[in-house]
Amino acid sequence: MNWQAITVNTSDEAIEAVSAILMDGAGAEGVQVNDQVTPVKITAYFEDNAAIRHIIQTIKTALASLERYGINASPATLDIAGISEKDWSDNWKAYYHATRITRHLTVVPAWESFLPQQEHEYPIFLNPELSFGTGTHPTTKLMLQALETVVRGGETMLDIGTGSGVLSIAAKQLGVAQILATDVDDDAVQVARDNLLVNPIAQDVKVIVSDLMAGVDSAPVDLIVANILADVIELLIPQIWGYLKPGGYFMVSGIIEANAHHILNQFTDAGYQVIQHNQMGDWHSFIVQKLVDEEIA
Amino acid sequence: MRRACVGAADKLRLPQHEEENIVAKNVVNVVKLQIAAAKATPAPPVGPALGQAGINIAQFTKEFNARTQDQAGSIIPVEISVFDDRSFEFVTKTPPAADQLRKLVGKGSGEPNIKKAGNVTLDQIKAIAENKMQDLNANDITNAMRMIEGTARSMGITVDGVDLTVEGTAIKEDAE
Repeated sequence: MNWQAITVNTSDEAIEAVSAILMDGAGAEGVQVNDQVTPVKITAYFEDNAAIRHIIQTIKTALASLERYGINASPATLDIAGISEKDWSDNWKAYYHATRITRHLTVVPAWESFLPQQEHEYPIFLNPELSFGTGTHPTTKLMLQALETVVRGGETMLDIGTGSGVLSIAAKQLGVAQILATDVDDDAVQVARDNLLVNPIAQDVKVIVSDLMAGVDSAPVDLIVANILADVIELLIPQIWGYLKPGGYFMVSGIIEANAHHILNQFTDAGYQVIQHNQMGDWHSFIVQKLVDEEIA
Repeated sequence: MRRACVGAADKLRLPQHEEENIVAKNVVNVVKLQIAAAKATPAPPVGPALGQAGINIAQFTKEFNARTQDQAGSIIPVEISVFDDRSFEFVTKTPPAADQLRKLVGKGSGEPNIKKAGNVTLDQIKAIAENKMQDLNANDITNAMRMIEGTARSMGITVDGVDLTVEGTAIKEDAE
């Protein structure tokens, strides 16, 4: 998709009012403010279509009226430049290289070759699209650590909210036998399938579109993983009990510091035994186990 | 500008090879955005602003959305410091005055001199000015209130019933 970047050159005191014009008046989703330069530059992006002329006129009219309201927005000039997704979407790739996450797992960009530094070090090849991670975020690192802690080999697993598919690929590398991965987003499911294709070991992972457990038809499994966000995990906790074998493990990540205590309580209330509670920076993860009476006895 | 990036190591001991990686990094760029809390996507303005700075966009959106979940519905100014290895840190600020005013009256007016969007009290203007004081380049609270009032005026909001597009201000000199 092509966009028009409209930059308003203005003064420090007009930042608030000009931002409001671009968002409220012209309908931009947000603005970028560069107040390190004089004049200050405030940029908003609009889809490059027939409406753009009208948007430019709306902005010009609103800017012209600011003076009447006692706001000095000068010079109040516009710079307009076309920009396409390829101008920004791939820049970060130059800074993304193979990263060893745990003893056994190394995340590797799909366009790089992999040479293990040690025996039993396994690659997770990822071709991260715009909206899916590189496998190096703390939430993912915590999950890869959790998998390495729990997996013994031969397990069955559900990967809820798979995104890039990184956890399914890692689990296969560690020896999990059978995996069903889900995501609520069609695009994510496609990205996950593409990533599975560049990881020969993960060819047999099945990926489906499902809103949490709604579309999941599965016998109870040994492991469930979910690297989502706290509000979604809260919805998931009561849904998964029946999908987990007695003694099975549920591993979650994506929980910001402020929500960690609340999620911990949800697990305890739901009857899970908290095995590990880990933290990396602001992010928390949990490994919990479904212990039923015969397990405890 | 030189800043140490040690946040992760403060809270847990990392494997040795990770700790060795945590060294002082140089800030090469500061990106400032105003975007909806909890709803950041790779679309503009986030995509081009961060993409051109070499940041992995998905990493930012996930982190920003998680941290601003409880502020959903507000516009949040965010300042992202980009380090030389293209890792980043960010801080969020209080919502812009326009956003706080909009919450009080519903929606701004596209024709502020003809159609009025609603009324706020001088006390509400003062509360927003106090709330935004640290982000505004204002000398004192009266000055800050005048800046907030300017935004209100451009949105077609009256203050204590005073039509600012006619009267100019509702602030008396003794407002402090």
